Amino acid sequence: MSIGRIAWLAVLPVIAGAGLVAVSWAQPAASPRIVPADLPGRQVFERQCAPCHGAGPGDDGAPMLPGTAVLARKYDGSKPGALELRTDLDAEVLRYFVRNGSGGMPMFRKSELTDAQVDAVAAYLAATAAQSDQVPIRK
Amino acid sequence: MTTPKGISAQVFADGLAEMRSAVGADWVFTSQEDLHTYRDFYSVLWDEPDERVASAAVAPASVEEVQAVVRAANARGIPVYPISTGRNLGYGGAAPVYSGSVVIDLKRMNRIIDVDEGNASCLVEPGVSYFDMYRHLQETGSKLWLDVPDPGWGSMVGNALDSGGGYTAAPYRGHFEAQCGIEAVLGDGELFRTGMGALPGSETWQQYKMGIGPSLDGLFRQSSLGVVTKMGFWLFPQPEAYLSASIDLQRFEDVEPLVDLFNELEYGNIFNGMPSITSPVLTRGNPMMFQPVPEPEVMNRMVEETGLPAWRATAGFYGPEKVIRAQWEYMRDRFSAQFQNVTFKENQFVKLPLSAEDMQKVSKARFGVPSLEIFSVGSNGFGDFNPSDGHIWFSAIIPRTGKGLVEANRVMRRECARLGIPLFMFSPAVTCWTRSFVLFAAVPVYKDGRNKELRDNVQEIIRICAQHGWGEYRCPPAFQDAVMDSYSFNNNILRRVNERIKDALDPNGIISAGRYGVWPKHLRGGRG
Repeated sequence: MSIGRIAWLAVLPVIAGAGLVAVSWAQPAASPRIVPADLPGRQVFERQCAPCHGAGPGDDGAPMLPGTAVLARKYDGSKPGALELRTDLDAEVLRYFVRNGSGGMPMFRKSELTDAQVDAVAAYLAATAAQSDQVPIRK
Repeated sequence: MTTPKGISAQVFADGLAEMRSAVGADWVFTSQEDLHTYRDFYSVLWDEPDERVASAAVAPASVEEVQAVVRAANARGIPVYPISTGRNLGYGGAAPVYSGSVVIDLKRMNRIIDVDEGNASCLVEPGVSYFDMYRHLQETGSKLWLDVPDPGWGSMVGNALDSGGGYTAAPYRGHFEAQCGIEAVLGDGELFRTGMGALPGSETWQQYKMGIGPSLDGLFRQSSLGVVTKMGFWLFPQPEAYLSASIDLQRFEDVEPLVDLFNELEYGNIFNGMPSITSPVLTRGNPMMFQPVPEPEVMNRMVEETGLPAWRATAGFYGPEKVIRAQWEYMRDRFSAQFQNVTFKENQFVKLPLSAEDMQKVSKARFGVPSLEIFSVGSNGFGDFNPSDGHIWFSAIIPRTGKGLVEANRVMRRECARLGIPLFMFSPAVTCWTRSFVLFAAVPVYKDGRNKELRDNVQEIIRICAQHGWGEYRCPPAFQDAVMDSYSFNNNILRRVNERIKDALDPNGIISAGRYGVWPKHLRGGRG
């Protein structure tokens, strides 16, 4: 048993607010290279989205963070799990998910993320995806 | 526009207009689209007529704006419901307990007012999240840790006020216990401070909790008596090292002396990290599900057949390497002297601060690092994971004894099975508090109409636990009346005294009506 799994035993009981989603780790064939765009939305993304939707590995040895993992599983290779590699998340689409939630992810209020910040994140994601390596899309 | 029950549209509109003039039109929300974001995403009443929903939301950015909003509400009897970051999912989220309340959304009040390195304390506003504070400590080169819940996106103030807990050393894990100093806006808009904050010019607000006279901090825990606008906390000076170590025992009969000795060692400060007592043989295949504890001979036979220990006690140690290794050695000596067939294991030792490499290998919450990685629960092959749209927690305080642990396990597993409650996590006895055990069960919730039966069953579990003397310390709004009812000593004197205080401090009954079963006078008859 890994240290990470031992840790789960004691970590779990006090959690509140964890969105529990059924995922299994979809192993990426190769780690894509993400080149963050130098735009104002980067800081918003890193603070508000990346803890779940970032590209980094999890602390229990999982290769992806939870939001990235669940999207990788959902799209099963037809789209990247990492939001920074998605080319189809314009401001309108992003706002829909931010304001309505999805799966275990709750909605975000305007006091947490203004519409302007969501737009900035959309611009950041588009620019980042454009200059980053893309995960091959399975047809 | 939906109006709160008993408030005319005109009066409500006047109240909102006054709130707009205080906080700005952009920060008063009344559209259905905006109010949708204030729903409890994990509500057990989702899309049902009784779902607790807001009539409006207002997001002040300062204490003065909070006072103006509360005064506008108080003058008209408009119910309000303060939230900090609204991330208390599984326990209510951003939604009010009393439908029709105006949510006072304090997320914009996100100032870290002070971090005192020498005093190892901080003073923050309610919109400050654990991520915000962690980032601040990192950016300023602080040597202080904060204690975080999991996930770490919630508010330091909100989590403490709802009795949340974390994972580091004992003095910091109970977040309300680690607070030192509260500022709150009362129902009439007056500003109140507890402890040394009541003494003008005091430099000791974050040093001494009590001040003079009755200690009133508790008035604001799980409370309907004020809008907390500042809160002080004690922070943990970064220790030199961390050690996690386990003790395995082989017989059912070991559980009672195990818990007794473990308690003695924790209460005697031999270890200061979070304790855990579990059963490898009863969690084999799925560490998230503690199976029912069988009769002694059956469990002992299972141990023999599987080779897995009957019990495993895990302790954490924070401190200088020399000290914590000596503490662990002392623990081993004590267990070796008392138990046969005891085995020991050092699970993890790390020097602090964490290296980048260690950061990838540890459970971040044990090191005061906020994370959302708990969202991946269920993804690691732990067995009977039950996909759902969310979850609620059942969190009962049980006796901190071996006998209590076994009895609570058996009763809860038996009754949950009888009622068909689909648990996807059932904890061993774990606690962030040093003197109690909490039995946690995670129950999936859905958005497709399956929740009615779930609610009935949880109410039944609350009653059964109360018959055994076990009470929840925290629960979702839908069960707060039932849980408060279960604290029934002397004809529910606890609730009745809370109601007397409520009537005295908030005579118009505007703040957080119904929170944890305390209703204002005008709503008491029908309980909201």
